[in-house]
Amino acid sequence: MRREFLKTMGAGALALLSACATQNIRPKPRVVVVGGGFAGATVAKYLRLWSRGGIAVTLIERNRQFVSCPISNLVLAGERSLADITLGYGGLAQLGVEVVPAPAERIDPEQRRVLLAGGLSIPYDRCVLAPGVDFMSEDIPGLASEAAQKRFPHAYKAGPQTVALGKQLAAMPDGGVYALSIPKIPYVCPPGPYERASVIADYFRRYKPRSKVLILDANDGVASKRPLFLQAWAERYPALIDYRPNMPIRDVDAGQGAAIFDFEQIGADVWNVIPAQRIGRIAVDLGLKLANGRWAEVDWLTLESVSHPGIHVIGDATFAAPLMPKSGHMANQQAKVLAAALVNLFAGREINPRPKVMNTCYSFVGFEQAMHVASVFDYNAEQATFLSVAKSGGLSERASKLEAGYAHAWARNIWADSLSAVY
Amino acid sequence: MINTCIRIAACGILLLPAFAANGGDGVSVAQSLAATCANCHGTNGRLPAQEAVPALAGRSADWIRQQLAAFRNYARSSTVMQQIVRGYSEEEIDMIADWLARNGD
Repeated sequence: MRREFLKTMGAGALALLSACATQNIRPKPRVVVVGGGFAGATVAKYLRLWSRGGIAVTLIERNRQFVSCPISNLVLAGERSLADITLGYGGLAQLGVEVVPAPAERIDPEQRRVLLAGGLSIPYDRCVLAPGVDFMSEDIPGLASEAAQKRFPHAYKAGPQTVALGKQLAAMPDGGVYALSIPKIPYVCPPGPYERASVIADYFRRYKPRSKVLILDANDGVASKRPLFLQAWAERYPALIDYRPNMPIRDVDAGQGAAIFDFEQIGADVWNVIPAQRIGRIAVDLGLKLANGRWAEVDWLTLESVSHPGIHVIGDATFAAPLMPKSGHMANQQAKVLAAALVNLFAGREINPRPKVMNTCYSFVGFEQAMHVASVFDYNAEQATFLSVAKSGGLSERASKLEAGYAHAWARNIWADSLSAVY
Repeated sequence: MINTCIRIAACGILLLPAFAANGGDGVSVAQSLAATCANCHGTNGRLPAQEAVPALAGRSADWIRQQLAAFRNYARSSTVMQQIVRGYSEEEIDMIADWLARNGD
């Protein structure tokens, strides 16, 4: 067609033709993803896969490697190494994702671009924020100093603090106390702190049997998988775990090595303070509409911010639907709803009006036994949110060795689904 | 097939089939539903290695339907699948089974 056109047109028309051709070759739509955790990695991968390379995807992530929070509690207890839970972004690069290893500084929604340090900026047609959470350390004034952060690590973003807390536990003499402060829900990975207490109790049982795990929980009881954790603790660590509900932390005193609660000050050999959390700073600075000043409100069909058109939010940073956990699994599932919506949007096709997401979350109660909670959600158009499907999902009957094997397989499989070029 | 993918991947950027400049196929509801299984059972049913949680690529639609029915009526014992399958309608299971059988091998 074009050749015939060329043949029939005089040479003088060539300039005009090339101008037309330039307009006809539309540039690929560009999606810029901020944050390369489970949510950001998955949306980057599936955008490339499902658009068959038709969407240009840039992933901005400050860390050069992905470190998995799932399984990181076993690293604390010395049962796994940080290398075991660390993966590269090479799989995404092989799929054509442009991976930019730098922190994103801010979003310019008018100019539709993401700004990096040093004045670099990356334009987008659609921006995906998968920033995860920041810790609300300002609630605990004593945490401001670096010394305090070393004495009271959170170790709740897998990485250097995981290693540091693991070293403190290894160095703690037998007969010592490890104290864990848990914030009020909602926080990331509801069973995570209780799993941590469990595997550290197993480590003590084996290697430092006179030691204690002291759990100081701001909630009025175990906030996730309650009957199963209580059963496991009673059976396996009856004298080892001291669980105290309704204990919101107020401050820390690094000099004394103590944390301050409403009516008492408590000392411990090894401290682990997990502060409350909110959406990552970049979203706060942008002025996204947040629920309770903490979590992004989104349209669940498109994961688009309710306040900022063209900006989508996924993962832990979202204001969750009823009963929806903040988990890596759910982040991956939300990412796929978004990837499908964007591919169809750019292709001029209908966006799925009935998306579905599900969650499976394994928790270890010791080195060799794990249990699960599962749930399935359908989009409900009347209520414009995801609702749990009646009679679906549930808990394990009890923790088992079988499910510990499934838990490790789950981790390897979701790492592959989120990051690997195999498809 | 999987090995081929890995080998190609190792050589550089995968050559993804072209996305139609205008329109494109889009993502079907069946494909989105099947993707809810992928966290555990592999992207498009494929996994880099054999795992206790199995890949689904290469399975027939009938086999997938039979297994899910067996989880639902407890004929096949399970830990989590008997709970997950209750979140999916028969129609959704048909769509997932058909999609995986057609695209997952």
